[in-house]
Amino acid sequence: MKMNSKIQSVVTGCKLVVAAALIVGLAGCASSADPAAMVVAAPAATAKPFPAALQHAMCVRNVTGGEKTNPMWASKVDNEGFKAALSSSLDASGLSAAPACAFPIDANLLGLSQPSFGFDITVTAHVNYKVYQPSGDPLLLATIDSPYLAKMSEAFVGVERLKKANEGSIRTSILMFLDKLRDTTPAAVVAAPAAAPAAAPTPTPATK
Amino acid sequence: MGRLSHVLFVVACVVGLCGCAAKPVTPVQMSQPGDEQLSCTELDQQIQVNEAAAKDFIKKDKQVANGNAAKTVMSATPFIGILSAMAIDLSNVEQIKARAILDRNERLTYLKKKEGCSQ
Repeated sequence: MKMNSKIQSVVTGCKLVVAAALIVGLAGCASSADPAAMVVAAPAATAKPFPAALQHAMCVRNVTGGEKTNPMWASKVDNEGFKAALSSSLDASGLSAAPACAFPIDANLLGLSQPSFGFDITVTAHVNYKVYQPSGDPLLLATIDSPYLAKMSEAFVGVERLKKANEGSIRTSILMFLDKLRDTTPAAVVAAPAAAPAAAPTPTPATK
Repeated sequence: MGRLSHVLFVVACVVGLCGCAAKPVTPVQMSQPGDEQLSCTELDQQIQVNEAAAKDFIKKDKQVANGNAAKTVMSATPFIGILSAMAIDLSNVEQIKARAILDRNERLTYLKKKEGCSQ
């Protein structure tokens, strides 16, 4: 009888600990993805070089599809943050040519596939990257799906872990985009343009 | 009641440990092999099919958003709230597919223009 009571106490204690862990994992206010955490560092010296025509000749023109984070809801990636991360990644790779550029980039964040919750969180970013030549013709149209797993060891609090997973998936997406740029064959730029083209050949649609 | 709460607790723990993985989604590629060989008629047909599909996905996306709002309210209910929270769908499948199709149509429209097809 006494033994049963002891077991009952241990079970109750375990339940409280697990419940507390679940609550802590779920609680907290969501914050937007940090642009600095989504930047791809300068490529290693051994990495395949970018085509010469692209070097110091690119800029980010439009970023669409991002969402503002509601603190009471899940962490998201907004347009400004994504644009800042993409621009900084171009800088680090020696591709930026601000403010005028010959090869503008439009990025459309189709969406982030996020889990409701969990201990290990995988977020997949789905992004359409559109790079245009000085003539206005597309140089690269790439649909990139980039999953990233944020483990419990990266962040204990659930909302923070989701934010890390978002940042990791965007960072992976930019890295994959840069890899695709290395394989392009852009037309050589004859003269430096006065400014980036004002608009894409056709407008980027958005559903929301 | 005691038994039910035990079951709910176990379900919550299992889900917490395993995680509610997002539904996998493969958006349509903006640019596809063979695009340059499409005739004006084929381009028109694809654009029309895509427009209908995009409308359908946008409609479903709104339904999912409304469902999520209801589940969020329900999640405040003691005991069963956790089950409602688990059912919230953040995979954005419909939104991703709709946006991908609209970008695909942008590409097809560009090809139509390039081929000199009638509008």
